[in-house]
Amino acid sequence: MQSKQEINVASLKQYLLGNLPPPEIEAIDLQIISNESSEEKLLWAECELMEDYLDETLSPPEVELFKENFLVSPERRAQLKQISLVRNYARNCAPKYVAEKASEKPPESFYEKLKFFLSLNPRPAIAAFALVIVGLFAAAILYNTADSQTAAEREYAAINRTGLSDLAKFKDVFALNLMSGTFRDLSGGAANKLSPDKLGERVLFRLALPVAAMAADAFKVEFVNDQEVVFTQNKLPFYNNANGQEIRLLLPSAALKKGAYQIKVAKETAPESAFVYNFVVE
Amino acid sequence: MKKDFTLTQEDFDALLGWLSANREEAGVLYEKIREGLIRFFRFRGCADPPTLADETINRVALKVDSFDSSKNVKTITYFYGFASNVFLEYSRTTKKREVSWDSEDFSPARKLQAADDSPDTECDCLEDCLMKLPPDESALVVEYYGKDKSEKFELRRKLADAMNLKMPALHTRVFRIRGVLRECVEKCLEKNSL
Repeated sequence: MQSKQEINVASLKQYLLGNLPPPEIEAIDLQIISNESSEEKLLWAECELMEDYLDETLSPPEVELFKENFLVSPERRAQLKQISLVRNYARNCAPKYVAEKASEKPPESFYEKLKFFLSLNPRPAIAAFALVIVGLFAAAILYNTADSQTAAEREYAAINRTGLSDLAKFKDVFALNLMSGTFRDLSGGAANKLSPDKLGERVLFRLALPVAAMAADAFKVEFVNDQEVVFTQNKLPFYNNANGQEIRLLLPSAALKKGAYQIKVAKETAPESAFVYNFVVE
Repeated sequence: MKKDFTLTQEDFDALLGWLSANREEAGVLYEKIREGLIRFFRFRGCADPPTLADETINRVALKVDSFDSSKNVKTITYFYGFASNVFLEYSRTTKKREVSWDSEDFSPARKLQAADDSPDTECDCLEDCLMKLPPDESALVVEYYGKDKSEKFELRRKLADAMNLKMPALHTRVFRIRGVLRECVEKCLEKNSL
């Protein structure tokens, strides 16, 4: 019953369009009937054909054949409609943040700014004085930044960096599963709304990583409310799951007030490319 | 399509006997052939593949006695011949009473409609259904369909590599998730229409 000849996806697409000579159609028909492993490839070819149609990569005669020979059953029309819907959603709501960030001019380095400053002040004494002032200023900023972590952030950093691999330990903690940038607006998607009466002392966030973020890397996560960073965690690991990777993060419920939140996730090595996740506390 | 064939127990036994002298083996072959015929009608775009497969089997069973075994024709070829006729009859009858459908609904231009701006209930339902999926599954579907034309191949190859899958297996996984989504969206739309 098994045929050894492999059918390729391009031929299958032409078969589905009814665009092959009869002997080739018969050969594929016989393979379909006798070889159950052909199903996976046929399903693939069927979906690719629908995407080709939506991408407008079919030739005009193929479009006619598509409508006449392929789009003949309610099942296929329903599939096409669904693929079109999911594609629209994925493309229009996918995170544009990364692309926007990538197109921005990177800020000049401190060294470049200093060089520019010194070039305007050729006299060495003034330049040296300015260097001392700038150095003191930078040290003050660094000192304040290092000290800006709240007690809660420091307390949760330890567990968020190492202790979330066994989810069974957190089965009693309210968990919110999010993926990046898929909301059309912050009032949509009841599943991403947090109701204070549901929350216990802590909330577990599970953030699915898009493929562009998948890597052996550590991540920085910022919770932003009303354009203000309200909670930050650094050097978070990622966890593998059945379909990819995710970040897990435990947060004290007390850190969340009513309002719309953005979670910005960026690789420690590429902080300029962040992925955004949205949720609302009601 | 004419459906005036009635299969008796004797006809069915004769069919099994023709498939194999061993009754158990004949049963297994029968199931494989039926599944194959369902696939055939399914990928020919027929609306009710199991019924058409059964119709084909019935016709073969009724003609088993007249097959010339000396010609050494493969079993599957007989079934294919009858299935082709059933398909032609099906095509003729369905084309005659073709339900009209609005081709604009499936126009590629429709894809330009921005989900962000649309108050479309379908989009609301899809969003809610995506949120009900495990995060890795919803992320996979959104990623998979995130790019079009040539960009999508590269993206999908990356996805497959990241998940240590071959492309057909990646597609099958997305297809399965899409099936769950579709069911959920349909239920949601039904609920909203009440």
